[in-house]
Amino acid sequence: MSFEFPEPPDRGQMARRSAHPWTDSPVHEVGMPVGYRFRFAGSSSALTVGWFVAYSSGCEFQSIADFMIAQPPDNPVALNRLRTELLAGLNLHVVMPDGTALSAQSFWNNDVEPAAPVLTRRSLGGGGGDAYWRQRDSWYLWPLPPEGALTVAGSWPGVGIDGLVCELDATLIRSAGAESLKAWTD
Amino acid sequence: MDRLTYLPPGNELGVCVPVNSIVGRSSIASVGLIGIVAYSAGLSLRFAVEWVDPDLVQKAAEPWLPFGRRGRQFLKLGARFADGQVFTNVDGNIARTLGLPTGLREDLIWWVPRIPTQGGIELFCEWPIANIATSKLELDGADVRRAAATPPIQWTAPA
Repeated sequence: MSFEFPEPPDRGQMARRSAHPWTDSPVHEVGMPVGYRFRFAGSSSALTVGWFVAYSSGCEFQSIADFMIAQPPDNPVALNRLRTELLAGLNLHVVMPDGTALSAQSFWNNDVEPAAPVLTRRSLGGGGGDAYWRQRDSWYLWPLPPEGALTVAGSWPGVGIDGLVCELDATLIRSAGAESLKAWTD
Repeated sequence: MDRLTYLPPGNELGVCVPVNSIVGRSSIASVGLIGIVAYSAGLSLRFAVEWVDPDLVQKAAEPWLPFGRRGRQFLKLGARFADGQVFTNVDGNIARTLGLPTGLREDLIWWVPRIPTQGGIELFCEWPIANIATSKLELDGADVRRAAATPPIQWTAPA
């Protein structure tokens, strides 16, 4: 017998996913951080929200979810499924200064420009051991919010975290966005 | 002297030092600093690495690690404190990527396991495959020390 292997994809093409203004920070821009950091804890879990970075046309923040599974199954497939289910329950949304609530859309398969504003969630990966896991996600808000009170809210009921609220001043985010640098000015 | 650590403390929130600047640049790539998070035990530095040729990072093979197939072509980072302490990602902690690259950019997190005791901080980068020669950014260490001296928000790690 013989095995037929498909042609491997062009690695260069794989890296050439088009950046969209509504899902990605502006190309060739070095954003300005905003110093908000929050932490919410359950009995054996925690969610940290921070790493806010403002750009000329949007704002990114990141979340780190840490959790322990009390009685991890021995079967690694079952353990992975349990982790996936727990992480799927983590839900953040943004409330704009005018009261508009934004749920996160996927980072993938959104090539058509949506109506603004948009919140996009992108996994940055995770790792851990049998019972412990740490997952990092990036959240991108496009465009920059108007001045006023901005809220990041959410819940993660599967690990006992509910009603989390991060209150932000969008004016600070807009000011930081004005300090975002171009990697090249010419 | 305490043992050097490989990662920020997992039970401490850290304090953000909002700073952004270009550390090194050529006509085809740029290394920018996007903020520092100060912990009681060290500094977490975030870098935005950007390039204009979509194939650049593919050519580099292992652009962020010191054991790439192209030898010493990886992005080198260094920090020198005024008190004499020196850290690099060549013989110290490696810089870790934040997710996958999005075409023309990759973000890196680099943990420097000490706080400068006096003076400023010099950050260095060098990325041969991107034509970035050894470049230096000077930072005021006072803001970093002030952030690191803020009483840390800590918690007991879940057992």
